[in-house]
Amino acid sequence: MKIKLNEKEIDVVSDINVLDLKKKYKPEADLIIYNGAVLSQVQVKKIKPNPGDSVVLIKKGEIPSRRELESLMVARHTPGVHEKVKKAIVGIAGVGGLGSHVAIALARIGIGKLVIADFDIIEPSNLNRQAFNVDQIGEVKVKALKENIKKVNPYVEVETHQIRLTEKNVPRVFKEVDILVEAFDVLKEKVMLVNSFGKKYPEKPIVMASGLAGYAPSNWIKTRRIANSVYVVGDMETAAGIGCGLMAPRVGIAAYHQANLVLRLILGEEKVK
Amino acid sequence: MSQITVKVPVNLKRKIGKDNVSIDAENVKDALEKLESKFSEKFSEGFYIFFLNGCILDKKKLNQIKLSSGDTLHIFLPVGGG
Repeated sequence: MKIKLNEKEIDVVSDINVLDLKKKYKPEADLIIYNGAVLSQVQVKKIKPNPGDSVVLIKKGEIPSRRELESLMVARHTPGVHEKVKKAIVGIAGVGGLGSHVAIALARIGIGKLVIADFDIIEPSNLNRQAFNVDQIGEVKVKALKENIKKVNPYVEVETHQIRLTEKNVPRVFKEVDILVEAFDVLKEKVMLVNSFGKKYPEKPIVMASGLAGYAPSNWIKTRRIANSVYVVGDMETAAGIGCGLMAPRVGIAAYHQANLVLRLILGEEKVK
Repeated sequence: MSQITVKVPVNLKRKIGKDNVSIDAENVKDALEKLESKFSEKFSEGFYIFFLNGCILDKKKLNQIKLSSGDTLHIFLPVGGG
């Protein structure tokens, strides 16, 4: 009969129990998850899977190989989706509240390569919204983010630039990317990035953000196309300022809008005009 | 002179209560100057992004970009935060 073992469909004899599965396929496993539930020592000897059941064998602390992780991605996302995602190169300008979360989201789905750029270091006040940890305070953001990405998916290629982006260096830093995410905080830099990248690479999509501060309704945040190759995520109005600071929930909503749009562009569900 | 549609930025939209205005102009710089005069907003200063018919414009060459009737000029003013 067919069951799923670690997300792969395999053929097994009909009266096999999960303990025998473990002995045969992954004797070093510490944990057995059967149809989503962790089994006790008693249960592993008793339970015999039915056709179509799912068994997951885990050795705690073991990092899956590239091949294993890839097969998990393929199983989750379908082969066609994964083929496109793993070939994509995405640039992220600014790795603060938006950029750090966009990077992690794309790493989770197995993006091929990220080019991340930011000049800054991690400060305590960043932790209310940025994908860094307390023990990373004082570290260079792009280096710390690369470490965090590697803990989520060690097989994503990450190119880092600890640099203040300018009109002159933007085209060089992001020359290889298929899509550029604008994730700056400062208005002047947002405009500079769109103008300089858009001028050099008018056919490449830019996913920018505008209006994501505070705790206004989540549903005000939308993804809009405003030009042939420029999209904007946000409510278009709520600027960060005194009394209306950036906070994790709303910044996160915008960041995941950006990440989903990047995915849709990669898959051809959205197309540049 | 060409009659074009201008998609206005959020600050001007709040002022006039409309998303779009029509204007006659020869080139993009001319269009912006007329808008500035009409609505007392300075588009030559500030952090705007300009698009003509969906294409990003080079801010240093706005006087060289000629307009045709039916064109759409979009003046986009993003807000800070990220």
